[in-house]
Amino acid sequence: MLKMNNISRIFRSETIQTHALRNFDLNVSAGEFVAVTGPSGSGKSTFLNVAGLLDGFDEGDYSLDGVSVKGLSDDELSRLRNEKIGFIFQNYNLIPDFSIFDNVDMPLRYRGFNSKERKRRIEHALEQVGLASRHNYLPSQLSGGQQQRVAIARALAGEPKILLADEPTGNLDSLMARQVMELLFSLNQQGSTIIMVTHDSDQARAVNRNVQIIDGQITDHSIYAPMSIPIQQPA
Amino acid sequence: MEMLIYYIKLSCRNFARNSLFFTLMITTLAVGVGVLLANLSILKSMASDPIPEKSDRVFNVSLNTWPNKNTLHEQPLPILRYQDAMHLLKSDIPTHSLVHYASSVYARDSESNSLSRFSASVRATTQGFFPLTDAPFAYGTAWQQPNALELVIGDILNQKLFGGGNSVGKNVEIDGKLFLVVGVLKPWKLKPKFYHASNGRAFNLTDDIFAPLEVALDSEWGIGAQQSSTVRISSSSDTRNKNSYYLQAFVQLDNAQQKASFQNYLDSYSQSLKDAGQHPLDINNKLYDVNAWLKKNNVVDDRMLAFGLATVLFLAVCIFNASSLLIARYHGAKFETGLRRAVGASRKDLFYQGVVESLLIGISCALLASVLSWIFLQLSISFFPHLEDIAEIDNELLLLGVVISVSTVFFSALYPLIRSCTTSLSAEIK
Amino acid sequence: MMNLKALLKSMLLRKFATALLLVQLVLTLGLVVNTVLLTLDAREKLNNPLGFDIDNLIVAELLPTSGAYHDTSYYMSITHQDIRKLTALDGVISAAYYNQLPIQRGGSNGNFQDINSPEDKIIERDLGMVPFFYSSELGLSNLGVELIAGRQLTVDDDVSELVHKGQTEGLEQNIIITESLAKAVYPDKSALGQLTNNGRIVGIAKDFAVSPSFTGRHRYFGVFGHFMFARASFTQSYVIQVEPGQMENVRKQISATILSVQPERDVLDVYSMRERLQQFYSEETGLASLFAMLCLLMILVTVVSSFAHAHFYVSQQRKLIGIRRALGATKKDIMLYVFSENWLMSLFASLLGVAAVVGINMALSQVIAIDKPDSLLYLLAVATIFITGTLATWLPAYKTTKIAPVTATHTV
Repeated sequence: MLKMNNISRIFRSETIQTHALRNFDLNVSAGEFVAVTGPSGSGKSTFLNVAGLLDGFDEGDYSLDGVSVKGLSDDELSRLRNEKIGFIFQNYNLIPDFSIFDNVDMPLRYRGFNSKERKRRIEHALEQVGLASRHNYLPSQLSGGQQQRVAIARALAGEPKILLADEPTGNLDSLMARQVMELLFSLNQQGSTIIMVTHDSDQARAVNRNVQIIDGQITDHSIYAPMSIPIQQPA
Repeated sequence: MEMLIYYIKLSCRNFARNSLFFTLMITTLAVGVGVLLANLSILKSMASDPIPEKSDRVFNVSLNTWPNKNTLHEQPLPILRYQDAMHLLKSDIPTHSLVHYASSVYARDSESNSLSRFSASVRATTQGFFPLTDAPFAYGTAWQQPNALELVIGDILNQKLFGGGNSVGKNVEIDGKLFLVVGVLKPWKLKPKFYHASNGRAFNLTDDIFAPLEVALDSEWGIGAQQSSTVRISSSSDTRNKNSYYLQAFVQLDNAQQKASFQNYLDSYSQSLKDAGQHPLDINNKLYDVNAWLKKNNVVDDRMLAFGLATVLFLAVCIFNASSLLIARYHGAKFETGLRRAVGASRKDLFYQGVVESLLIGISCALLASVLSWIFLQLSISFFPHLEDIAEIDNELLLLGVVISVSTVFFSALYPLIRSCTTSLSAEIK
Repeated sequence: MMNLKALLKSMLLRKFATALLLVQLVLTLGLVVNTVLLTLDAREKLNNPLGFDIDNLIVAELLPTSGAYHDTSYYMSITHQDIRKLTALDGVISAAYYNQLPIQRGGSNGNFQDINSPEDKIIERDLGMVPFFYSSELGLSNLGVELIAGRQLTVDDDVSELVHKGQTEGLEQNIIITESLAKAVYPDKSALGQLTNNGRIVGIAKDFAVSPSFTGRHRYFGVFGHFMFARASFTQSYVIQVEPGQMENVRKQISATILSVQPERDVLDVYSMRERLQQFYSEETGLASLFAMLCLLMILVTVVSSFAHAHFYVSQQRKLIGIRRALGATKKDIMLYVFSENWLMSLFASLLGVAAVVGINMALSQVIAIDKPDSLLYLLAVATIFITGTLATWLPAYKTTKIAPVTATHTV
């Protein structure tokens, strides 16, 4: 599903070169739930940006769902992001004056679906996260946990191959965090591939695979026992 | 299509969200465009060709026949003596020719019960005036006899005296004398009024009364424009055989050969006068075509040109202003731009959205600018009352306004938009 | 003092936005200075001494509407009645008819030279176009123009009857000319008593601005004769000199007074001589007003830009400002920081502005007459830019004081 081979990402300033990722290898199969941990500044965010096609890389190969992303144009990258990736952010990143419906609608617009198809998908996605009845609410009318669920619905609506979550529970209290995690687990059970950056070691332990990044390199591939049902291939 | 509607929806939402910001931007741009449009409307009228279908075939005749060396005028003179004018008219070389002088009278409908009279501007001229200037007849024709007590009247006077309609056959009373109306013109705009572009009259309205030259002189209708004489003139009719220069002449010469032979005709006339000792100056006669004639008379007001220069600068400042506002706007929208990029919008998508937004701003700006340009035009007229009859905002200008508005908005948006679309993504969202 | 280097650096970072504002400020400076030049010029023209008292003069212009006025003696008798009735009005000192009025650009004029000038002598240009005023014996005194030599014209000098009867053969009319004209024609001797091609000089009047738009001696050229033009198709002008403070009162009655003598006239206009002067320069003042309007708009737009710029700057630097606050900068320090950016910008603009002022001035001087800019004016314009810029920056600068030090710890 996601295959990174010897990836390097170097940030250059006038005086200094920083290897945010160096000789980075990672292979994620379909249906996996991968937790990425690491101290701050380790390259987690860079990894997620590269994985999410938000940022390029300097060396190595990266293929997503069988497509090598190297040398793709902005249009092609955008298309890949839109079709194959769903983002979940720490800050939810909902547009405050868009209704829930319009927020979830956003990625679908760039896919070029007609309005009927968009409506179907939005309703389905909101149903999946348990917010089917709140189409016309504004984000500010929802709790933090609900907002994050809207953001997850937005990520799901495009029926992506892979969900990338960046500290999805970082801004939530523990109860809401648990609800969001449960949602992610159940999505994973239904077949979604998920990569989640977190620094919550409990969360990390709970998933079926744990990757640690230190100084831009993968240092640990320890695999914990999966908490949930074994992997199923998505239909 | 669906995407377009989506973009329009997004733009409207942006307008609502940043209403102060967009109001400022649209207003400043509209003010810039409005001022420019108002100025252009004035310059356009001033610089336009009043008779485009034959402006290169109609010529002002300037002669050099001043009888002594004490000529204080620039030679050749655009005003002619009666005897010179008659000599021009005698020639059958031109397709049409006319001579005229400006006057004014007080006129009334002879049948009217009211004794009140209307001030009327007069063009004392010859029959050739009408075919040469393509004066549009609504009713009737020109007079047929040079001494007939007959008039052609303009639309405005026809409205005033007779309430409009076909007034051919009615009588106008001037100074107690009756004149038969033989022709009525349609509303006739001639900007600039090339047949009398001198003395700052290029933008006066076309005349109320067109009368046979001989009749005007016999009726002692005063000479109401530049007149230069070497002797004392006691009345209008007294000018016929004296050195009094006041008649303007125009001829239509349809080809180069015609022009050459008419030039020759003029030169041999001057020469014959010189040989007879009637004037001491060099032979120097000129034929100016309409546009050259307008240029020579400085029909385009330098002041308006100067102001035009300033308005262009002003528009530039408005564009810069809009541009810096837009930079702030896109900076403020960084988060949303990043988010859209993350969910799969390409640079192109965002660029198109920006273009749609610019178009919408441009159109609102154009609407506001049209209103403002009208206001600025009225303001300009209040500062320069003589512009009153010059400027009007026509469809062509309005279209130009839309084009200018949309393109200025587009140009102001271009750099900020490109910058916003191309900034790297990863830093924007967390 | 602010850390200038840091400021410059941060401006460089936003070079596009900074350059835009700079260009705006520079152009605004250029336009403001040139506008003020035009305005000052128009004012100066209006306030230039004319050499006669225009504040108590009323002008009426009229045209006969009936053919009866083609009879010169009828025309003359009505005119005399008009003048008598106007003079009799309360508050009127005197009244007279004129073929044309001072404060003019070209009117009725002709060449003027000594009678004995050789036939083929080329006349100087300004002596070829000397304005001829035909009026009554009151013509000059009615305008408030003093005589400096010789005598006033009297009723006996009136040549109207003779001229209108065509008896001009050998006619020698008495005239009064202005001082400048006298000096121009008779530079070496007294003009008094000399015979010219237009009559014998019996008096010399103090110079007054007959043609104010001229700058040479011919600004003051004028010849006065005792004659009534009396031509029905030419505008007749009456000038009425009133007692101080009587202007409005008399002005109201003029039209009715004239028409009460004989109604078949069109009183085209009644106005004061000061209005005539304003009208005379209306194009100059009109242009100045137009430019002033544009100038005002330009300053407004620049204020908007300065505001937006500072606003943008502040919102972009929220975190930095927060850090400064966290490190102990007072609100005042921060405000000063925002202001100093604006001031630095104005300073640059005022340096570059010199080029804009000169450039625009040169461009304008291609099409219209405009004075050269001077440094005092420039300083004034710079001050305007500084003040408006500071005012525009006030709100965004004030807003910075609301940025809490804790902002420093937030993620952006």
